[in-house]
Amino acid sequence: MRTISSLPPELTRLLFDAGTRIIVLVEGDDDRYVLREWFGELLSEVEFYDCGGISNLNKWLEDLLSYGALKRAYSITDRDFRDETEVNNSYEEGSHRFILRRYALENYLLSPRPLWEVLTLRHPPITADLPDEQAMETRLLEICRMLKSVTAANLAYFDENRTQYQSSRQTARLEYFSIGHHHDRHIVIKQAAKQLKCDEEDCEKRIAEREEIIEGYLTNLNSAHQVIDGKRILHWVNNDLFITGRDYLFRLLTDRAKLRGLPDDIVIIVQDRILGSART
Amino acid sequence: MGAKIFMKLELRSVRIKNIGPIDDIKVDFYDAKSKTLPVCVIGGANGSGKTTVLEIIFSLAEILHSGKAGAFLKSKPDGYAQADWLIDEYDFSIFFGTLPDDAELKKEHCGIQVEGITFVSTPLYADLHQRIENQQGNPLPWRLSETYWSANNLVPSLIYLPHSRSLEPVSGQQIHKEDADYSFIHRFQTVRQFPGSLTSYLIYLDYAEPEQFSDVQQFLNGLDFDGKTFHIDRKKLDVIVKTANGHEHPLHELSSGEQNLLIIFTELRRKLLPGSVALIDEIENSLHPAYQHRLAQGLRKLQGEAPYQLIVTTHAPAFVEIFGEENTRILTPF
Repeated sequence: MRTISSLPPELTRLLFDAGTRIIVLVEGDDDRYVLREWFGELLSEVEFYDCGGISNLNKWLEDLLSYGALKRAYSITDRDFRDETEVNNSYEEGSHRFILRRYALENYLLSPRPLWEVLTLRHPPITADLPDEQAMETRLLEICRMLKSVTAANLAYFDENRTQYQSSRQTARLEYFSIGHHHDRHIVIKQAAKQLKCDEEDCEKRIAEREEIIEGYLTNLNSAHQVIDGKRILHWVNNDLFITGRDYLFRLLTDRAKLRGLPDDIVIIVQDRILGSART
Repeated sequence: MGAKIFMKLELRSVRIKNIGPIDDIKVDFYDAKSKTLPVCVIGGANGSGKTTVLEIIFSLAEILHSGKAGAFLKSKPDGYAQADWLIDEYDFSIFFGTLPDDAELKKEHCGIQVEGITFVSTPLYADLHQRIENQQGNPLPWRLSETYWSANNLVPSLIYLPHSRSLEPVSGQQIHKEDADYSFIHRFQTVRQFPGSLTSYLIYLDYAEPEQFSDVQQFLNGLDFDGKTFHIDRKKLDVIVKTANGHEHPLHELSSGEQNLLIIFTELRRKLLPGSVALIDEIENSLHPAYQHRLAQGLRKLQGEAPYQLIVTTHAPAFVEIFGEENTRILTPF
């Protein structure tokens, strides 16, 4: 006999809405928007839920699985700075927690061809600055390089959070630099030193070590998408090239990506791994 | 003789096994502190068994009412159903079917064991049944025991509004005075199956009980149907709605959502006794979100005037929002 009684409020809302559909938890509202747009024809079978952050997502997924939603609850999360092994492990048989192969879902919106096509809609035309897809790719890589120091500082925070806070089980965490934060190396080091509670010289050393690691990924755009946050790239693309508005650009890119063919990574997660596993 | 006092009916839980889409579940209608929920929203996908839960609650109550299971349960001889009630301070179970090994009946209970169609009951049943018969105008030929309650205590009722709710036009022959003022169980039915329809009720009142009709008319006009008012056209023998811009149409031409709202409010107003339980299936039938809020607020207000337990099924998130997640139960597929 199964007893149906009170559940945590967020699960009640979620299960009320899901009905018999598979539940896929995502971190933010933008992720939900993109996945609903891309997989609109599957919304009778699957629904994506914005959990408002990774902590909620982990808790809710755990609750759902313990509640008995074994074949009906999954999550898709940003890669963040996770390494290849951790990402690959998330795709093991029976997994419910899939980690994107790129840094964030936004990175999948920022392929040169669809981005260039969207930017040509801008007035005045962008073709003078960026005549083709190749020029777009070069510009994207330049933006990624521009974000190297701020990304290195965030990576230092990521490492610190993993060692300091995770081992001591403290809840305080170092917050990454805001999406539009200034990318000037000196400013970044100055502020990171305060956050990391070390002197600027030590901080510069820690950031330089990580810049070197990141540099290894900046040889081509595909690997750059693994370490540079797509939200930051999108911010600067909008700031420097599009101007009209980040949300508008985001929506156009979401539509264009679908038109040009959905990213294989995401199709595999949603259609093969999640729907495929739930159907068996 | 003291003043009449209504007992308080509280539905605490319902157990359902092997009936319709339901394998074996127990739905609790109380919170973590064991306090009965004044409102419970039952959610779940289509075909998850929401209506089955309400039909079973009603069908089990028919056993208390008549000693016989309702038609819904009679057609499920392989299933088991049990409702646990708290009637003032007394726990009481009503069941139907062959008792599963893990069944936990309250000490006071009544029910029908399907094997041999045996009716079993404890003394509390006899007391309740006698009171119900008395209140329904069929006094039994023996004195009320008063072991559990004094003679002044009255049994409230169980009101069920199934998902099919609409108003249909009536002709003169279909206008009746309601046969009984009180019925322990009341199931809303449209006019063609049941003479005591809402329309007929209003027309009858206008003719026979003008003072009461005036009260009802005031109530209807206060429902805030965007300026619409209600009156009786005696020549046409119909209930007429006058819109804010002066146009008139019969009651049954109200939009389906307005009909839903009108039926719920007027049925509860005419049948609800303090301490009752009301079941409403698919409460959001045809209602715009604004009207969903209006309905929920009205039902809450009614609870302030005459306390009752409300159990509704719905697909509309607004009712979860209004009544709260803590008062929501989801029939999940797992």
